[in-house]
Amino acid sequence: MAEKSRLSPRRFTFMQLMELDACTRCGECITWCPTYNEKTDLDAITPLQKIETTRRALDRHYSLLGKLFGRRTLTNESEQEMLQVHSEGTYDCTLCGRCAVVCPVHIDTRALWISMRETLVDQGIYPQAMDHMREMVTTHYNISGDANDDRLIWSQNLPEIPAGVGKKTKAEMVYFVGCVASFYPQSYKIPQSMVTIMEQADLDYLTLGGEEWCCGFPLIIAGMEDEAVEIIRHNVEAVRKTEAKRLMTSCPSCYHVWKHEYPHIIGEPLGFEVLHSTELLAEIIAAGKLAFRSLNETVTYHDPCDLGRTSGIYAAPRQVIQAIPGVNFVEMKDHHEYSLCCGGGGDVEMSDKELSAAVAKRRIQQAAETEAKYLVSACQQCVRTLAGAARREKIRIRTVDIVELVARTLAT
Amino acid sequence: MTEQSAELVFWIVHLPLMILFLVGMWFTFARWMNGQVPGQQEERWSQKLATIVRILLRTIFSARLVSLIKNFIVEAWFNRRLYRNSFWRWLNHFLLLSGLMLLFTLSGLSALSDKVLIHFFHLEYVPWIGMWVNPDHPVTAILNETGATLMTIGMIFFIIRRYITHPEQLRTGPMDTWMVVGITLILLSGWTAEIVRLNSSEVHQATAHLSFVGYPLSRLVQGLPLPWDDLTHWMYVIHGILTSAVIVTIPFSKFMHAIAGAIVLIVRGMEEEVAHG
Repeated sequence: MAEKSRLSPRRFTFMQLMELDACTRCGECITWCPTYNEKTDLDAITPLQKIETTRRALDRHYSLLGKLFGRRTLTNESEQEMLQVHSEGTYDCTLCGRCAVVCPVHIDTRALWISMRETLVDQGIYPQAMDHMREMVTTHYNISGDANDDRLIWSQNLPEIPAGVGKKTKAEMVYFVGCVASFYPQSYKIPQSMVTIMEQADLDYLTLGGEEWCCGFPLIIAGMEDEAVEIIRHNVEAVRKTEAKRLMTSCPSCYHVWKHEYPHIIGEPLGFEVLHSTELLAEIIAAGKLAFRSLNETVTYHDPCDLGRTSGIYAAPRQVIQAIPGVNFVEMKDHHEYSLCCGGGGDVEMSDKELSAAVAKRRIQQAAETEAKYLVSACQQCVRTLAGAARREKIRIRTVDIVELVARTLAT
Repeated sequence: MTEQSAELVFWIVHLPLMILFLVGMWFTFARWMNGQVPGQQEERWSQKLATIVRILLRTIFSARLVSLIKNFIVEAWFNRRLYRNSFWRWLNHFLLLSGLMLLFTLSGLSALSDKVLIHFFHLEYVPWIGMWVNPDHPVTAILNETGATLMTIGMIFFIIRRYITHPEQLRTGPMDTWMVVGITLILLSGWTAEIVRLNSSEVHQATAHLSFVGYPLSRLVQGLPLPWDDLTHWMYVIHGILTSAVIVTIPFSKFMHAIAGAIVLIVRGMEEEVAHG
């Protein structure tokens, strides 16, 4: 027990441990934190407090003063209580990374919160809901717990199932559908729209079906990256077998881990290019492969955190929306790197549904202020969370994924 | 009491405090070294240290040195992001940091000139060496005064923001208060030492007015019946000891952000440059 109560610095990088000391406690992050602003009674959510608690717990065992006086100023019991509250705050964070954008010392907060979660998992101080998610992902290879061979169930409603959907073994591009779009009926429209567009653009693609396993993102952000390694290796091998030169996904979280995490985790380059659907759409629109009908409506765009702040893709989705004739594109109050989170990130929905809904409410209100008819995003989770908020708040706005919007406006 | 005895007292206190400072810095560095080092799978300390030293040397002895210096100026000193967030906070930080850096540089030059170049090589006749140990030299007087004034204005802004206007997002704890107390002690003792010196017989009256803040203040108290000459040495000893007492807390307090923050800002700036080609 004594050893377990000791927070280990080994999950952090050298730079992250330095970042703990670099925090100036200026509080800028607090102003911008979407979850703290909805749960002001829990100071442990604030980036400042998360850093402070981690530093304090580490200092107790690793600093000179901590070695001399640590046990007097913080007992094992009080350290455990402190870490319990810290865990609540750390898992109530949507990992939107907005704090990183405003931090005057450029602390890479999102990566830091994930390392903190890893240390909390090592300690066994994390929400039980994460165990359920881990169980689903590591045994069923998807987050819903459905049979993984049913991954192409969304294609059953298509007028005709294209060859790329489950019938090919080799292609130029792999379409990695992702768990939510594969198993949650309200998101089926995303892959259905995506294949419609790819067929129209005459692209050579395939889907992996049951060979597509969860990308590992939920495990990684829960602080359980060790459990994701086998899954990641499987996915990379499955794509390599197709000899594809590109991998495209319409899920920003899948995109982020494929593009930015996989090469580090497997320790080598993937050997193929990773694209988000918005990048592919922008590319095929620029190449003149798609023709549109007019959409004479006001449209606004919500930047998904994993696509915008975390992956740096802001221009492609806007280019796609503005390529549709007649569209009156307007930005919300917070956009690009300052975009407000939808509340659906960071596995928060698993541990605190009310908090997730409160953040979504604030974002949908920003969308309503634009008087747009369409709220477009490029993430199935953002669309789901924001559509739920619109329904609860009785706000009349159509919340759609960007591929749905494109598919709807295709000139057939 | 003579100047020699005052200096002896200073060194007796200063040296142990600096040893404690170095020990504290060592523990802090050792804590950082518990983390993972990029491209280094080894858990061993020596391997990690070798990687860090290698990265450091490759940066210093390459074209990336220019990027390092640029990022120190743009990100760590001017702090572009803070400017974007709030002009007043930026100004507050910029004044404090600029004053601190200027005074730190002057102290360094003074120590180098006095304890090395003059003490060992007897170069006091070289004007640009001798001037750093002469507080009445116009350049030294104006620069010292400028540094202290910038810091003082920055500190006043800092105190007003943290304790009077107190924006909602601020969380003020003992570490924040110690930072205020520490810097204020250094500034107050420094100004007092300067005022006392300007009232002593050692001062060249022709150039004393170049201490554009200290000199008018010294005129206000010059009528007080105090042993200005004796006090001069002791006030500098007190100022030096207080400064050492604050420096020793750097590894154990929020002051550490000045070192860690600067490194993080430089590294992030360089990473961004690489990412954007």
